[in-house]
Amino acid sequence: MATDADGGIAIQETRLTRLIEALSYASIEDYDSCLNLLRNLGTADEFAELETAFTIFIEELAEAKRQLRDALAETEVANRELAAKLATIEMQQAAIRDLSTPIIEVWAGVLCLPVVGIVDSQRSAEMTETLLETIIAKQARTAIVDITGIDVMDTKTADHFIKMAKAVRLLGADCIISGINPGIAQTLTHIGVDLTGIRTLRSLRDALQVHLRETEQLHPGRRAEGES
Amino acid sequence: MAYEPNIGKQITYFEPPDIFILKLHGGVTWEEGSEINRRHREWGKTLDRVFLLIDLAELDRIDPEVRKDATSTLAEIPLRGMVGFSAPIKAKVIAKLIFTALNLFSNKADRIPLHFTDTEAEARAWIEERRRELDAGAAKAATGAAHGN
Amino acid sequence: MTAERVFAVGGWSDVAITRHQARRMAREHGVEPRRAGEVAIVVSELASNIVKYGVRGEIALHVAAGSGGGLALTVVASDVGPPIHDVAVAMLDGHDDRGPIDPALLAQRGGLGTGLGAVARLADGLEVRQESGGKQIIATFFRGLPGAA
Repeated sequence: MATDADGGIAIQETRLTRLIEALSYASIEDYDSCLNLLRNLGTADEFAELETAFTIFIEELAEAKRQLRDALAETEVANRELAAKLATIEMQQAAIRDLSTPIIEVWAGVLCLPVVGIVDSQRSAEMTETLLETIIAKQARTAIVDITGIDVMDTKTADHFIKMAKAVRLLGADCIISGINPGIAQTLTHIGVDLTGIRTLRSLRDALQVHLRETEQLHPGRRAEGES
Repeated sequence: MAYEPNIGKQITYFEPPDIFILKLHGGVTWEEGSEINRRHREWGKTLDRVFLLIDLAELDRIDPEVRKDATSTLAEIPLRGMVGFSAPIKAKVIAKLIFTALNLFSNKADRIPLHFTDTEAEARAWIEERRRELDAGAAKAATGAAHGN
Repeated sequence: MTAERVFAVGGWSDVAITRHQARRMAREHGVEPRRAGEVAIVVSELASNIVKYGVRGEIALHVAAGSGGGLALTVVASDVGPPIHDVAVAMLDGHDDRGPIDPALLAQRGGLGTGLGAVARLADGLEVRQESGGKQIIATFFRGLPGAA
């Protein structure tokens, strides 16, 4: 390269063209082609130093992009795993809600058993055992069993359900079943069950209201606080 | 100032009275580079002037973070010249890039000279010339004579 | 339109999860709520039996187009437990696979002894396959499913 009087330098057009071509490759992320062009240097002059400087930076750019792509791929994998875990947690949460049936003492001597989800023979058996035990333990006088969410039961399970209500009566407590829907009503009719002594009401709210009103009538002024 | 000269693949040590010797090999990593820079900053605190003598024959690359750290380190030490020898074109370009960045942050008057030679002997001769210049300048300043440059 | 999901069944929380997902899957394929509830009960009874008697196993839910053009839903409950001694007896309510269950012992056993009977009542087809390594109970549904005649 020669420096002329004005301090300008003469560069072979082919070398400039090659440099621009190399950078064009880099601009479309074809770093291999870019570096292939840049690395074949002829003279080791100042222009070659410029080309070498580009080589250094393009190499680093390519490396940085590769690392970024790898990191992104790893993040995507981690995200998928996380999403799967969240889905599992969601499934478990839905299931946990009906895994055990909680018995709530709404006020002294009045138990409420809200039943949600799917009732199979296992659940029916467990429910019965727990309810009867709790009636005894709390000396409850009323048990309200709400099955608003239940739209179907096997006939034998439904039969057992009614037997549970009758057992409650045998313990000396009132049993109210609320939320029987048409499907369950059909099943109960189909098995020809005898509902004598068991009160059925449309909703849990109705059941609580009725109980409250009756307690009020029996013991005016006293809000079913219990005998003690 | 007594350190084991080897830092990973690299070598650096102090040669009294005022030279930091550096032999670079392959790719200078952050672990290697930051330790080299740390030692240079430490040695530089106790000296009035420093020359950097670098064997560039085997240098392949210096990580960007190391280059940045080197620029700020070199600005902190009383550097009066840097000479690299046996440098292939890529090593020469790397050294020039760092050094040019360093000089961009200082005034024109403080520009530190950068030089490249083929052999170590030539490099040391250049350092000797710089020393003579500086001593002469200091002497002239001491006698109060003006010194055009 | 074919879909399949498989659930591992080892404990009671698996039973709860599987019956919920079975109902959801049936609803997603257009099965109306009451019938989907029956599918869920069948899945629940079979899964409970795996936990109680089958050691461990899995429930596979399979939805496909049936031979009549409507939807067909199949529940395959497989386990690694001991075989059912007498399937016909096991199906009778209040019985296990050996004979009638002593009511006094029913509470200990858990359930009502009506699980398999419920499956037979609610599903349209029931098949029991027993091998040395375990067994498979296959319950099929096509009545009350979308597109049924």
